[in-house]
Amino acid sequence: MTKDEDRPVIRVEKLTKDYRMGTTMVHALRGIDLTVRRGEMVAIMGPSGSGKSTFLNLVGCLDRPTAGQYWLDGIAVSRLSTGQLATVRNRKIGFVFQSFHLLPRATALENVTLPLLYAGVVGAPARRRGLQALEAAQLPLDRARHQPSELSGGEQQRVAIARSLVTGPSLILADEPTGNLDTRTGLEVMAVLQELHDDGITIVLVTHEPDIAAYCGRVVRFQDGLVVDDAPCPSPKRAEDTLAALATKEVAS
Amino acid sequence: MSTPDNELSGRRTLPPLDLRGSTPFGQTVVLAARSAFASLGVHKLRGALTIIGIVVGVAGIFVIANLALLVRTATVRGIGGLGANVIDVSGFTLSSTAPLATGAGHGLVVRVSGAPSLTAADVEALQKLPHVAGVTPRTGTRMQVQAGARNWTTQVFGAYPGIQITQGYSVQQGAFFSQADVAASKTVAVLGQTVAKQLFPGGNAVGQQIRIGSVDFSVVGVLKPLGANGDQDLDDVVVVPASTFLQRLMGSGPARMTSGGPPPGANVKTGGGPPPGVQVFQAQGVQDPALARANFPDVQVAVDDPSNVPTVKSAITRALEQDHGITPGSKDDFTVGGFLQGVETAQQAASTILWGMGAIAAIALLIGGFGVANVMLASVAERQREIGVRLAVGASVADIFLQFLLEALTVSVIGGLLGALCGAALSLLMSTQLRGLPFAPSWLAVVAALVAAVAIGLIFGAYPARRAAQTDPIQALRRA
Repeated sequence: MTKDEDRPVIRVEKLTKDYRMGTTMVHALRGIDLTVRRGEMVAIMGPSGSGKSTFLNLVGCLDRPTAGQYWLDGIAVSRLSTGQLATVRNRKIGFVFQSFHLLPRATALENVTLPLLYAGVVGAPARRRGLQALEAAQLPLDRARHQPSELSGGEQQRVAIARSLVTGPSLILADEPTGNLDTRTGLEVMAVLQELHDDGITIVLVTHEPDIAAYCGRVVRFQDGLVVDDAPCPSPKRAEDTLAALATKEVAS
Repeated sequence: MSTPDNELSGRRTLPPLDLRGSTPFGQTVVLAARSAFASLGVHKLRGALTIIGIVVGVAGIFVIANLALLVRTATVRGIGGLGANVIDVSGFTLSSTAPLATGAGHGLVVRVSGAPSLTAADVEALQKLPHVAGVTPRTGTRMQVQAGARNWTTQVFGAYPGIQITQGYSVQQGAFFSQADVAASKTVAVLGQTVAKQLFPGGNAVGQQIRIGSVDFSVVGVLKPLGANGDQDLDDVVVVPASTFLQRLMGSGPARMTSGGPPPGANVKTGGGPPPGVQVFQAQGVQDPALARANFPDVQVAVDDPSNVPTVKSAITRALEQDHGITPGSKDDFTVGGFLQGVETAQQAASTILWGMGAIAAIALLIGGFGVANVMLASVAERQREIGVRLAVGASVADIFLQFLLEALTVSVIGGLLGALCGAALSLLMSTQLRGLPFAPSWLAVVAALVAAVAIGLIFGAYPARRAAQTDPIQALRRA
């Protein structure tokens, strides 16, 4: 078990990604070396075009690197077939997107159980697990039968977080999870992520807001396809505290 | 809901999942169907137009399959079952009508008028033609046959010994009657196996006396068993000389061309008489009873080789025209090819109609198919984000392909079911408007219609489904 705990969730070496955009070649990643250990909460920052989204797509197994190595939970991902990558995305990775990306005509619970469908879990066991995931993402359960259009932005993002949790993955990848939310709701979502992190889930979060990065235990900065800074943050801020302070201020004013 | 929930106890992470591996197929089908219904619900007009195309095409296929079954049945029982080397010559002018133009009875209709024109002299003349292996007139009717206390109703044929060649009869016991017996109008009879067994269960039929109608006959032979042709027992038959039949039995019973189907028990293998499903109308009141008694309504000519049939057909026509003093250009009082020729003509007319309807149905189905492809392509384009999400959460390319293919199938099968319903209604309507045509919707037509619908769904759903499966999740999930 200790060996398992010690194994990094993400390990990339010389990760390179080039792609063609029109006639020009874009070198999105120029050889990234990075290791994310189990239980870390890492913020990836950088200006647009720095390669942070490309990195997230590669780590999320949605894309293949031009060169370099990637081990996810000890699995050499570059050697996997397309079908195996789909399975890896299903079992090992949970995605949280800036614009939630919920299926509009499905209920919150149906959205949450979608990954279970592709894992072969359906019916009552899937619903039970979906409700557990919604509880873990702190969505009031009376919202489970609502469609996304009937939910607030914060609620929708909780549904998305529940969806990312439902298959019990090793890693949650969040791409600007607070980008479409106001400050307070964004903090609420960060509080949910921090609590999941407290319980041992590894989280990699892309953001360009330093305020959000401040809630993570480690901040990695990208620029021009390279890692330019990688700093631990020994005592990150707690989103709960900020929210409490915010509430006090509101009462005072 | 803004307060962070501190009440929740324990870990927020979920216990490890017992994973089965892949999506259960049944679930995929159910979800795809639901998804298809949802899409149709959102784009009602577009969905309705698509489905209408399928409905029209499938309804057309349904009606055609029904019609084709009708014609095929007649074909198989009639023409298809005719010995390839036997020509049927009818002693009437036969005008045939297409099946759809008739108003009564069942199936195809052949009209005859006047009295039969074929004489004993005609038969003799035909026997002398080159390549002719055997000739026999054949008249028949169902009559009761008695032997002592036993009696049996069977098909009685009046014929020449040539019937052995045209029908493929051979004698098992005794002997067939001779041409001399025919010339002398002897009261002799040859029994089929079934009749022999019914009347003489102990065997030894040869030499016994039987009574047909009110005339006594002596049994001179028993035929070898031929078996059954479809539901007809070929051995349930009595053969007597044609002259005796016309002179003695026609006078004693209601012997005439059987109408409303074939003489039951008639050997369809060699034709003679109308095949099942073909009705013969004989104009009433124009028959000369004397002629009806002397002349043959039907003569069968066996040819030595099937390849000589066309040659012999024209030779027969020439010989009979000469015998009957028919000048070129005027109407023959006989028909070479007989009832079956009439049936053939009718079937040709029917198949022309079938092809026409088939073409319309195929076009409708094709339009419906393009409609399905169009709707599905639009749906794939609109649902890029959904596809991206599904891929991100672990759907394989095959899962996506299957989902969209099943959605296309759902649309086409809905259309197919509605189409089969419309086709059945149309068929019933046709059968009430055109009485006598057995247009009752058949299961085979239902199957044909649904197969067409499924084929359309698969063919025209495959390309959009492929497009869906090729979606790049990164593009699809670009921040909106």
